[in-house]
This record gives sequence, structure tokens and C-alpha cells, in this order.
Amino acid sequence: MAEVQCISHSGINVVDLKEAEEFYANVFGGLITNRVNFNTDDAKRGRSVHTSVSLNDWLFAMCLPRGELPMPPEEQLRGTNGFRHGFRLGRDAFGQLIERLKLYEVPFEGPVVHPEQSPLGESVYFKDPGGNFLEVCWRRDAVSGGVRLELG
Amino acid sequence: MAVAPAWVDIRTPPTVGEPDGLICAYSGAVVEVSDVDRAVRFYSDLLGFRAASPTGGGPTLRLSELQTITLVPRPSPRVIPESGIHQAYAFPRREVEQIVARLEAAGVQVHRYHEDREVERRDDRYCFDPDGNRVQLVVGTQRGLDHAVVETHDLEWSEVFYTHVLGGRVEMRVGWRMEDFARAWSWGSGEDQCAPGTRRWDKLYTDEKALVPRPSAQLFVAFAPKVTFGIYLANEHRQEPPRGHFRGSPSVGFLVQPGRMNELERRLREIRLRCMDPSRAFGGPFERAEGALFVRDPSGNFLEFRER
Repeated sequence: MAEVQCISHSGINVVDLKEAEEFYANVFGGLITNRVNFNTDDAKRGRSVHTSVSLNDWLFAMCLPRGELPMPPEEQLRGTNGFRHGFRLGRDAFGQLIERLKLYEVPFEGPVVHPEQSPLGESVYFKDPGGNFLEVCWRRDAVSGGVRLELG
Repeated sequence: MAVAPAWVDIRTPPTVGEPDGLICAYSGAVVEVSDVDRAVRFYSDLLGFRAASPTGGGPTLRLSELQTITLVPRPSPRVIPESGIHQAYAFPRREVEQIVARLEAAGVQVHRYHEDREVERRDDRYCFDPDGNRVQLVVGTQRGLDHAVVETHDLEWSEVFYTHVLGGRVEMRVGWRMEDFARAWSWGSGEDQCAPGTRRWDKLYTDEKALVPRPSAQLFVAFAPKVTFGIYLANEHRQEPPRGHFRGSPSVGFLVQPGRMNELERRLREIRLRCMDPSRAFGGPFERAEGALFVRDPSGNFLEFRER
């Protein structure tokens, strides 16, 4: 059995790196780890064009695709555009995130209250400017140091 | 009392809003040439600039009431015609046509390729002076240096310097959006004539070393209304001036708002980038002499600042 410990990092496509950087910094407090292909060394090596951003211990690379990037309908706030990333935060911070979404005028759906038996308490659903679907929730089963799943 | 420097980098929150207004205009440019007489003929007879009082470095021509260009003689001028480096001179529309006619009559090829900045995509012409310094002719209401473009080896450090230290604001970016990359394919197929330095062929380190057309990343930084400065990512490594040199050629000159030179000096001393060596004498990446402030940017480009 593969002993996977956690997700190491993700790569997502965006249409505008600067816009995406600002989105993840404003909404989530993401920190730019590095940008690639904005110096001559990277250009000479033919590296991909991306910005790496860290959110707590999750690192993700925002990449520019070479051509078209399929975008979901503007009014659709919940779904998958190939995938959806879900983030967990504390119940207290959940309200703060909603305030941030309002402050930066990010359309969102929710908060959606999950059934009492669900490990999830509430979720909000929205998209980043590149059409990537995001979900942020607080979990009923969150315990210090990890997540304990008690399904049903 | 000395103030501890504030270190800035790409994680420093970006400056927003209007430019600080510290820099209010271009004062001119200094370019290197191998034959000053030939260069003077080009800039005076063909472009129409008149002689001004020499500045010491070489013959000087007047671009406008406040601007000059100095032609510094060098056996091997620092000229990179295949790069994005250039100076753009503005003329009234009718004059541009007359200059183009004079250039072509003199056997100077006039190019109609374009750059990416929207305001430059119409009515512009390009040529090279006899040494290969690229000259752009743009239509403007007043004659003079409209803008200048330099190269950098690290666009991120350049952005930090020109915004946080010099008070500019990013007016436009190229190479940050998917559409910039999609557009480069038109250049790659020969359908889009782009100016040197704006596009490049990248050999990917994946995809079996495929060659793909890409935009060269660019920043246009505004210091004041109609005072925009271009910074292009260099596609090749270039030798930078020796460490500790803050004054030299080629260079771009700017005017600082009256009474704010000391503020500029203070900012250069107190807002610091780890990649920039300070002068021992001045405590920042600059020298102050002859009423001017001479600065070396993060990629070794020389800048000269004088109070308006």
C-alpha cells in the first residue's frame, strides 16, 4: 500500500497570473513563494511560466496554459472545472472568510449547511478568476492535529 | 541619525494608486556610438535635433526644451539591436512622415513591426542609428523623448525597484496572461510582426525539447502622466558593468520634482533591495555629483536624475 501522507502540491491553470496572485493573497492570505520565468535564467531553460503560492502547508503552482482555458459559465459558482479544491478552516475563521469574499466582491454560494451527520458543518462555494472552483468549509469532526472522520 | 533600511522584495505589498510623482519627466538619454560625426549627422540631419551645449561625454543634441541626447564615443559601443532596448522620440504627425521620407532617402530601413503596449500599436516606425541603437518614432503633440526601454535579467527585482524605490506604478504587464502566450503563436507562425525583444523561442525542458514561441515578459512603469518607462526581460545574459559603478553609459535621464532630490536620495538609502550593492561613500546604490544623482538599477542600467 502506498503510504501517502498528504497532498504535496497542486498545479492549477489561471488566465492572468497577477490577478490570480492578488485573489489568493486577498481572500486567503496566500504568500508568493516564487515566480518562474521572469528572469533570464528561467527563460533560457525553457521553464513553465507560473507563480507558486503557499497557503499554510499547501503549495500550489498557478500556471499559464499555452492556449485556451475552458471557463465555466459566469453565473456558476459551484461545480468542477476538471476539479474542485476544498479548504478547511476553523469555525470562527469561517465568518471572516465570508467577510473577505464580500470585501473583495467575490460572488459565492452559501453558506450551505450540511446535514448533522455530515463531517462538514458549513461550506461556501466560489471560483477564482481563472474559473477554478473552490470550496471552503468548517468541519464538525475537526480535532487538534488532524481530522478525524466519523461518517454516519 | 541613520535610519535602518527597509528591505523590500516581491513579497512586499505592492504600491497602489497613482505614481508618487517624484519623477516628473524624462531629461534625455545617453547612447554610445563608434563614430560621433556619423551619429550627429543621423540625429541632426535625419531626425532634426539641433546641437546643444556639450555635456562632457560627447556631442549633445537638444530633443526638447528640457531634454537632450548625448552621443558618447566608444570603440565598441554597448548596442544590442536584437533586444528590446530603444528610445522613442515623439514628433507631430506630419513631421513623422517627413522624417521617414528623409530616412528612406538616406537608405535607412524603416520598420513597421509593433510592440505590445496599446498606445504604441499605431503610427509607430522603427529604425536603427548607424551603430545599431534602435530608434522609435511615435506621433505626439510635442517633440522629445517619449519613452525609453531597458533590459533586465530579473523582472521581479526591477519591478520592486522601480515601484517601491522610485515611486512608479505598473501601467501594463506583458507575459503574465494566457492571451499574451496565445498571441505569441501568431508571431511564431510569421503572421504577426513584432519588435525585437518582444518575443522569443523557448526550448522547453519537457516535451522533447520542443521550441515554442513565447512573449518576453515586460513591464511598463508610469512615473507621472505621459512618463512611462519600459523594462523588458533579456532573452540572453549580458555582461553588466563592474560592481561599484553607478555612473556610465548608456543611460536614461529623468527629472525629479523641484525640491525632492533629497527625498529620492533618502529613498535610495533607506528602501533597499538585497540584490543591489550600495556605494560605500553614499550608503545606497547611487552617487551624487555635479548636481545630479547617478543610479544603477538592479540589472546594471544607468539612470541619471536631475532636479527640474
